[in-house]
Amino acid sequence: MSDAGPQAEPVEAGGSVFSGGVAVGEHETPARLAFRRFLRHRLAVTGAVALTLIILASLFAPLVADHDPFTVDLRALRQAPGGAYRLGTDLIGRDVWSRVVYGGRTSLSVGILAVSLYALIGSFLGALAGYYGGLLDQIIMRFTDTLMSIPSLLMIILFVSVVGPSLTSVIVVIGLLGWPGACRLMRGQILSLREEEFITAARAVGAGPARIIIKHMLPNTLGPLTVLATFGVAQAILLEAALSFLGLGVQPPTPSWGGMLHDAQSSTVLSTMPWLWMTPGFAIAITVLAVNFIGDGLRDAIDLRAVDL
Amino acid sequence: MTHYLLRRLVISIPVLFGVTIIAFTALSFAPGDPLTARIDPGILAQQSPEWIAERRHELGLDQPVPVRYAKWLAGVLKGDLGFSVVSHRPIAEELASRLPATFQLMGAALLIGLCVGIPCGVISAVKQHGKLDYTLTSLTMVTISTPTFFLGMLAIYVFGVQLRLLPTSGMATLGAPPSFGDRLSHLVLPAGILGLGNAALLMRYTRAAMLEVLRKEYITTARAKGLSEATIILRHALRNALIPVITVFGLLLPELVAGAVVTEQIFAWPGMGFMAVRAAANRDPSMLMGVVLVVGIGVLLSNLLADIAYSVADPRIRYGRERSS
Repeated sequence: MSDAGPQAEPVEAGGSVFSGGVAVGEHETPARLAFRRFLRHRLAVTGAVALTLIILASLFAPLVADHDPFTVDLRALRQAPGGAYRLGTDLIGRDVWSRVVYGGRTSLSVGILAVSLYALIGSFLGALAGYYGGLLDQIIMRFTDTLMSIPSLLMIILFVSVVGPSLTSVIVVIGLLGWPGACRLMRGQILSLREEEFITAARAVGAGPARIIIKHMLPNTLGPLTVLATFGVAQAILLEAALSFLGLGVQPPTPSWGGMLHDAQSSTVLSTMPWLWMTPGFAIAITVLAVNFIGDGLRDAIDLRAVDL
Repeated sequence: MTHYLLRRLVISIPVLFGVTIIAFTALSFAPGDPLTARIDPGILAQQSPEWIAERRHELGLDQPVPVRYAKWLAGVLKGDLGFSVVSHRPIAEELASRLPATFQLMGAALLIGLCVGIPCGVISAVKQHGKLDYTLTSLTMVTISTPTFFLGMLAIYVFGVQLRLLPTSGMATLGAPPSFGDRLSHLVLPAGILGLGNAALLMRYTRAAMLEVLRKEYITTARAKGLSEATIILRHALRNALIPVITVFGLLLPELVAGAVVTEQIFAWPGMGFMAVRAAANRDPSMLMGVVLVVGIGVLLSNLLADIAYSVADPRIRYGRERSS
């Protein structure tokens, strides 16, 4: 997500939808143009740089963290920042900095995996609804309305209370319940693409529905879908954090930012050990802010005023 | 108009059924059942399998899921939501006892959201690209990106611990004589934190709607007539900009509920969200289903209200829809 290029690239293969309203230079592909516009968005670039650093820190967590995130140091309980432990230790003597670094892995994997899952489900259902219309469309859209009428946090809490809290169930539940937005977006896109001439042309030369949807329509929807997915990652990270904070998400001892705030809820810890919860709290805020800035930049770069996001 | 509203109401009924079906399906996969909800599992373990089978038969638990769903739905329509696995009390009763606290919190938060969000959105749009606009939009972005619970903990740390200005937990001081001032001071932090998120969303929508309207030609006409800037913004632009903002109201309730779940947890506010989290931690899905049901009805009703307000505020919608229906 740190780079608009690869995501937007397939657009050029698909057709001319994005170059439609934009003045395109002689040898400028829409994707390159979008990338250049993204680079001009200062906050988006800042977000991209910040997110790249966060991703790198999570990937190379063993190198970035100077302690093991699970090791309990009984001689250093509740230590304030400074000294042997950069950001102090928690209630049972684990290094806060290392736990924050490893917690990034949890947040990012929930964000990326859950959103990939629901983007797939949503695009599939949305494409079916948009392409075939009729009764199928009615059924899928009513189902979407139903899921959207319940706040996702509450729905996820209900499902987690059934399957039990764990990292996997957080990813799967967000992935299985988060698709209505993607479905609506995809349906709208397919509906408008259906009227395009190049689709009629494809149909005229005898392309079947699967080929038309996958080879001719899908590439044209990747731009808006990427923007939706980017904001979705921010949402999913916030959801995981909220669930873990409520004790219904990632379970100890797995480090997660929301879980670290959960451990610091009691009023004595909250007031006497601010380092325990401020670091993971700011980590969530900075990561989500970075992703949201990238989303803003992408939205402006691929000129999505027509799409309601 | 009535025709249009009736049709909207009829459309929302299947959605409500959908909510109950999803919730019931989830529930049927849950460990434990209404029998363990009524009788302590410890006692249950000492009974013979025949006795348990008999009780299960009495409660209709040996019947297929669709039959159980129909029976459960019939009960729900009569106001019987079943029993909590944990407290062994009727769920409807527990819900009813928690609702007032949640309404109070959400109402106060909504009020804050409106009073802060709409004016900020207007100012931001009027001063587009100015310093104030950048400050407000950045603040909104930061608010939206920061988890509610972290904001809440920061607020407790600053106002409760460092400044010792405000109480940070519960609805009233324990043991103190009940007074309006005491209750109000308990409401400030939770409603403020929940309202902040609302204000951020409302500001975004108001700003976008205002920018849209300010580009319109009748605004230029109003300027050309020599009207004062205040009249143009408040009487001509804002009135039209608020129309799309009304629809956001319907979207705001799910956000409010989700925010309330977390906010109630941080501030130990004894509302429905607090109860929902405890129910989830205790693996009590039937209780959660009651919450989901109440919230689902609330969301559908608020959408309906937003639709009514929308068609009252904008005659174009009213007449357009009537012609098409």
